[in-house]
Amino acid sequence: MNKAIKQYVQVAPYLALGFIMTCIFVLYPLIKGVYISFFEYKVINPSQSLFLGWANYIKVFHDPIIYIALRNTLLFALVTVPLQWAFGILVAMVINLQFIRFKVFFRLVYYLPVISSWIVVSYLFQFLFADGSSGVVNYLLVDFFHLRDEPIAWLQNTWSANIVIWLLSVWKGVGWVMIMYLAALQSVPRSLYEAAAIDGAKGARTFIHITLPLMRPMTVYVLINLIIGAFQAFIQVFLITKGGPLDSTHLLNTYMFKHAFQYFDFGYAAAISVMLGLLIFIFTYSQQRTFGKDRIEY
Amino acid sequence: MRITKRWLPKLLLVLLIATVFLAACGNNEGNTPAAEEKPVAAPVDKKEVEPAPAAEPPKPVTVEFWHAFGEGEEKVLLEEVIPKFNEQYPHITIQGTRMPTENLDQQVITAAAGGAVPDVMRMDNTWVPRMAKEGVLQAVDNFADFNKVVADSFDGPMATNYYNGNYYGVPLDTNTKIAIYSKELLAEAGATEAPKTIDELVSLARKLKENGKFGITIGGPDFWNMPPWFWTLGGTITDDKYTVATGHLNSEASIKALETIVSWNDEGLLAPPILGGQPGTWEGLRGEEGKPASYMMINDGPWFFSILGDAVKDTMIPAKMPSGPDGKSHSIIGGQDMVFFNGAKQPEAAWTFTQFMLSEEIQVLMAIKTGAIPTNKNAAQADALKDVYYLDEYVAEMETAMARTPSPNANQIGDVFGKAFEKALRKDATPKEALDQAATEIDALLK
Repeated sequence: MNKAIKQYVQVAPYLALGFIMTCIFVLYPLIKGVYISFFEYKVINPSQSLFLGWANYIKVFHDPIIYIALRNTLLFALVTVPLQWAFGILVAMVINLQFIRFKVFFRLVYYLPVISSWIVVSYLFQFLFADGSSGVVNYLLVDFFHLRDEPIAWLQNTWSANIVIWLLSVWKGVGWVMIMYLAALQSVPRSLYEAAAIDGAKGARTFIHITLPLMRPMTVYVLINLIIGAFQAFIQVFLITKGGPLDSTHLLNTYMFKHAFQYFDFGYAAAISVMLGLLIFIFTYSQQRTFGKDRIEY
Repeated sequence: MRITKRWLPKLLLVLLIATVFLAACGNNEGNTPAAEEKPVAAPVDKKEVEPAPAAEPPKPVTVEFWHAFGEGEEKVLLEEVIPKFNEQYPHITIQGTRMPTENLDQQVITAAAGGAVPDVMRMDNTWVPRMAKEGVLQAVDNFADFNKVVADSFDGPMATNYYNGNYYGVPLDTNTKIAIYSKELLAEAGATEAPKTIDELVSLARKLKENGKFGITIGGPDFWNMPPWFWTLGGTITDDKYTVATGHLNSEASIKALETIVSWNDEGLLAPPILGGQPGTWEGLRGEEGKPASYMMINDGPWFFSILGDAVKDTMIPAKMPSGPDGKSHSIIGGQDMVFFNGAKQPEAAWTFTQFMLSEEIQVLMAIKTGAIPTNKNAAQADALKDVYYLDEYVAEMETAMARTPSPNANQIGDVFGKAFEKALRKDATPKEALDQAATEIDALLK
């Protein structure tokens, strides 16, 4: 007992440091955010803030653009998470094949978007998909491949603008999934594949029956991170479409930002962010429950 | 090492002596004119100034000044305005910071929340009520000689500083937008001079359409680009007191104005920028690399001429906007105010600087060099302005120009307005539906 306390005292400073940091940078902002959501909040003179009760939350449910933003946020997750995951694992498998040469080169190429700045690649996509014939993509479609007669106003229509945003997000995310799986693939014992080969299993079957099940912990980790990332997407929409046309490509995040920093309606923005936080919690928590429990033993 | 050790003390000594001498020289040069002149600085806070004998040199102060001047304007500020200011007030150093225009309002709020505000800022005049409401700004009604500034300034720009019974700034410059025509395309449409009425403009646009070019360019459906056309065509946004939109924004005349604009778009008379298309207004008017000009006219401010300078002097015609049903054109008033922050360290010196910026001399200088229209009445009448070939048209347009709805919710109101017009143009709603809904939403924002 005495020894336990002594040990505890010894590690306490280290624990305390982390705990204090968490309090300052995570817990305090979290609680303050919830607090702000009940006020018409004045950032400059918080003492003049007006208590509104649940009014901001009621407004959330009556705001038509919230539903558009929610739709876009969910669609964003539904589209980009599976695509990033599928392409990521595919690329990882292909790069991992024995006969593929220049592995480092391919890893670099696919990982490059991940380490590039969001701002840079967002502007890049904005130029690629510029309206009229001045955009590279329109040039290719119309003047080069003659697939269309008229250039597409990519960013002026809800769905074409969303496609641009999804494409960017998938392209930028694939490399991260690939690296994760490449690492996980190293841990699969070669003997399992050899045994399967002797039993006559080939490519696709070994993938489904050996690789995927053994990758399970990694898959859970990757999916949860991708989903959280999808709900937190912001910069690509903020920079490429600014939520337009007609507020139809807003994500919950960009819509919240607009209320906070363009309208200075911090209370309403905080209410939106609390709701978004709850949404992320529900999604990821249920996932943790469904496939977080099993452990694999070789 | 040894050499360094031996030399170092001597070098330091020499440097020290040099610094003392240079500093002394600097001080002498700086202080002499100040001492000779009247009691320096604007004695705003009289309690502080009175006990001190007038001859005592004032303490050197630094004024933090934020602005979003363009490159050319900043050059005039740094190379001409501030040196002139320092001749009169050598003890006040102006520390100007050129801010990016993108997301500037957020930066201001963040700075205010964090207590890192400048003393004075040149701010877009539509922001002033909003910033005043947030408690970012000081009321200026009690500043020394404030009434003189009010008397010297035009009423419209002055009014942009008013919020809830007080003034929160003073107008520095103002502007409006006129029609700018390309001589070449005007000739292609069969005209030698700018059209006087909207009807004339539309018939020119129809002729140009046959050549695949555009006669009318509206920069977008937003609160800055659309109102000049909407107002000129007879539309209104609110009552004169800016209290209600219903009955004005969705009045018959307003609906008709929007219907006209939508019909132009349907007919293919409006250039692509109306819905965010390319090329942009300036590129379309002047032609881009390898592409000829395709827009006959745009609607823009004096910066078009001051930025492009000689490149457009002989190819473009500045003209008043074509007039609408009431025989007049109604363009939009823009401009910048000088505002003072709560928590400013040197409000008195900042006010002195601001008074200087509003003086006739500097207002005329800025007008000639940058095309900024003076807010000082005397400066606007100055003979020197006649030499700037494009300013006449702007000053004339100002007479019938109108201001955007001043409100702490100006941003939301602008968004609602822009969305209504975009919806109608994109056929998501009829003009009447769009304006009815917008009027209701703006009513709520005006309360």
